[in-house]
Amino acid sequence: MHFKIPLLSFIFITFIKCVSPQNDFFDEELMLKPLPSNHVYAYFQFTTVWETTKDVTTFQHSHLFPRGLGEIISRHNVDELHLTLTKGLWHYQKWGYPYHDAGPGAEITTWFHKDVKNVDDEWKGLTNALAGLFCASLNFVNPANSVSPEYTFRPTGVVDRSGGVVDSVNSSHLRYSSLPREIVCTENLTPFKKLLPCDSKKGLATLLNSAYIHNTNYHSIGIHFRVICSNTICTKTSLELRQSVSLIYDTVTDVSQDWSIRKFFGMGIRRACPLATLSNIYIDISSNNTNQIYELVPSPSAKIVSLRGGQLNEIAVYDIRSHSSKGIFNIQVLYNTTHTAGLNYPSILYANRYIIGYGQERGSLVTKIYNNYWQTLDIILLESIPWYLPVYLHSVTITCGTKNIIPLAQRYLPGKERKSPYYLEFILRLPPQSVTKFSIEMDYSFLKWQEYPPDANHGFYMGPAIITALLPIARNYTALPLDGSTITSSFNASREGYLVQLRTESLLISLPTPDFSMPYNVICLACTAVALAFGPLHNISTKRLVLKRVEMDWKEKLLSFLMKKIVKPKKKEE
Amino acid sequence: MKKQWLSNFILAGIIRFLLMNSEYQKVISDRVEVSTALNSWKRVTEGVYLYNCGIDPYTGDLFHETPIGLYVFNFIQQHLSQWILFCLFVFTDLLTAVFLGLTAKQYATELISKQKIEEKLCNENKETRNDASIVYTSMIWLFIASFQINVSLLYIVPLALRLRHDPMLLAFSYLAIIAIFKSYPCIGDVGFYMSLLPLWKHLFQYTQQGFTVGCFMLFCTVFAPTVWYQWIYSRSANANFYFGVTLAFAIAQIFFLTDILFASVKHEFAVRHGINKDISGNTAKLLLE
Repeated sequence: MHFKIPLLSFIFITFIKCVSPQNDFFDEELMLKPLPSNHVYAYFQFTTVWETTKDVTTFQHSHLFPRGLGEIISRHNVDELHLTLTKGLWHYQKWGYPYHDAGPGAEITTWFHKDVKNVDDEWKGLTNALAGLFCASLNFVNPANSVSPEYTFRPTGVVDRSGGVVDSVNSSHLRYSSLPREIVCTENLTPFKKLLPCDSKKGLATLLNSAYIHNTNYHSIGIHFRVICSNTICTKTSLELRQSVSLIYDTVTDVSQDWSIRKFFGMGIRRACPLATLSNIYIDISSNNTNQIYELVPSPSAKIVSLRGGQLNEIAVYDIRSHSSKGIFNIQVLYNTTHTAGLNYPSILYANRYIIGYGQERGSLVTKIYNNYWQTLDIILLESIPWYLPVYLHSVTITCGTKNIIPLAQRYLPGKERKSPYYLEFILRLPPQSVTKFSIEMDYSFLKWQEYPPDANHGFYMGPAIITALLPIARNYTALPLDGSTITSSFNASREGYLVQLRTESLLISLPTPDFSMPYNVICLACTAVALAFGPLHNISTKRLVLKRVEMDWKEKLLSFLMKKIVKPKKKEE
Repeated sequence: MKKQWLSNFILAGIIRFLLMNSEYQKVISDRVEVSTALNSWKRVTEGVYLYNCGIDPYTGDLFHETPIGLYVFNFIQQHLSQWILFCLFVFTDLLTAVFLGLTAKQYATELISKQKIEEKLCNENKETRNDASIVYTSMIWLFIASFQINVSLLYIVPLALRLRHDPMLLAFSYLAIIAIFKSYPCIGDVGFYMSLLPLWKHLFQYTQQGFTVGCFMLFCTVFAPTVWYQWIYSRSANANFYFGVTLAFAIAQIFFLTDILFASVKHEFAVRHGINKDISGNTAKLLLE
């Protein structure tokens, strides 16, 4: 009798497992990468992979995959979704390339399924639903700030090619929008953590304390959903959800260069998430060999040497499970020497953007693209310019020094007031070791007085330009290969090219602002002007001119009478 | 007479051409008073460029010309060099001047003959109707009606009825009203009806507000660029300043127009009754009743 209960429960559990097999797994990883500029790049990635097909019934029951997000994805028939919420600007030159490029503020890219009829409606529904899910102002995404770029974005996952069309990838089912003014804070992080299977109670997510991670030089949270192949011949598909947190910590300003998990996140690591198959922390210790001498405490479980696209990295691996068995643990990096400057190998491609001209009437938008490579680089430049900054395509100049550069291809859609932005896409071939300057003239338009945001004199934010390139070498490159899902897959992952999508600065533009008490003045004074016109014109057209005797009132009569009295005696005297 | 015309035209053409080639060309063409969304040459260039790139210029907001205009401008920009283009601009301006001059001449001769007939008719106490002028009026009427239907719609009928004997004055008033109440006013509209001003030389003796209007316009011309600069560039003033100046300029034009119209009414009266202001020995004054 005593042994029956465990036996029964065992049978019951096996029964459940047999009935609904959950072919999914969850990985949690943290990469800590000291950068030459004495910053530390911390990248969290939580990966959920679920071997199933994406159809209507899939998300009715889910095991590790967040159901809230799943329902939104299935309801709006989304094939691929990338959402990032970012504060700060990524310095490509100093920090290399991040795992995920993200522009300042909120940025969202979505591929809808090709069966979706009205993409704009689904786009609106999706962004509104995500706005609710992440407490972000994504509901401000509308056709007036969304574009469907033709070259820049390609699906990164499996594309359903059924239907006979060879190239079924059509940018009409793609939407991209950025809200550079969005401020990212705790209210976005909390719902983000709730999507994780262990929430923020166990595992690496316990490190995500808003007080610490919003105190960084750069922070970005991201949701990346796509459909991937489960086997090499791609007969089965899986759904992949990557939740990422990128942080840049500054160790320059501190007294000592030493850093630790506890210093960055306020606490040590207690336990791995029990639902995770992989719970690892990686530390890139490549710089330890060259010029900076530091020590890792405790010493790592393993060391991996990764050779990728000509870049050699040494990575220390900590398996949380084995280290946390004794309780809370902390990884410390202790320097033997005092402040040392790292040797920076500059990234081969980076860009910046600014506005020239003064005043609030017209200006020019300039994007400078730097190619530090010894060969030519082909890039795609995407500019999505808000409708209130009308640009003139005929004024585009692309120069490299004194030489004019002719784009290999060009796409342009003129914007429409309050309807669509100006969309501009160029494929350019950058000469080796060069700075290419792209400039376009623009006007600053007047808006309706209710279209100005609160504090209108602060200005308007303009989203970043995106520069896409396939780099031939992987210097300073970190991103995962297209076929990989976890950080481990990026080790020794040499490929033919390394895709980067640089974001330039978002710009603050001050449009001419009216005085907001003006409606009163306008109504009063314009009416005066109209009345001044109406009165005389009415008189002229309705009345006729007559000659009339001048009738005097009593004052004038009295005056003239007196005048006569005074004048007459004088005459008599004469 | 013809020699004087010719010398004037050559002088005007040279000034126009020099202005176009001077460093002020860009400054002038960028001025908000000169170049508006409807007449900006930059927008035309953009439209033609888009058309040549295979992009429909009408999908955007910048190009507002007609499709026929698009073909014409495309032809002009593709086949004419910069110099010929400048010469074309000067030529069209001079052509406008010729037409205006001829119109003025025609009107002056008509006016004199009409005045003579009228004086004669007045003496005979007879009234005749001028059918031709009514047809002329209704043509202009249609033309203007398609132009703007907002504020000027109010004045079309009353003015047409009142000025049915003087279609030129009617056209002038319509042009002035449009220039005043247009949504994108520019100096070109004002310049057009101002250039018709010599037609009313015979009315000047009856006008009363010449000095006021002149001062108004002078001040506005100086103030408008100043406050625009203060608002848009140095940001030390706000939109009210510029709005105030445009309003003052509109009011000056209203004064000017009504003054001319009153003068014409007085002139009409004077032609019929003489400029005698006495009624049987007592002083009298002209009143609208």
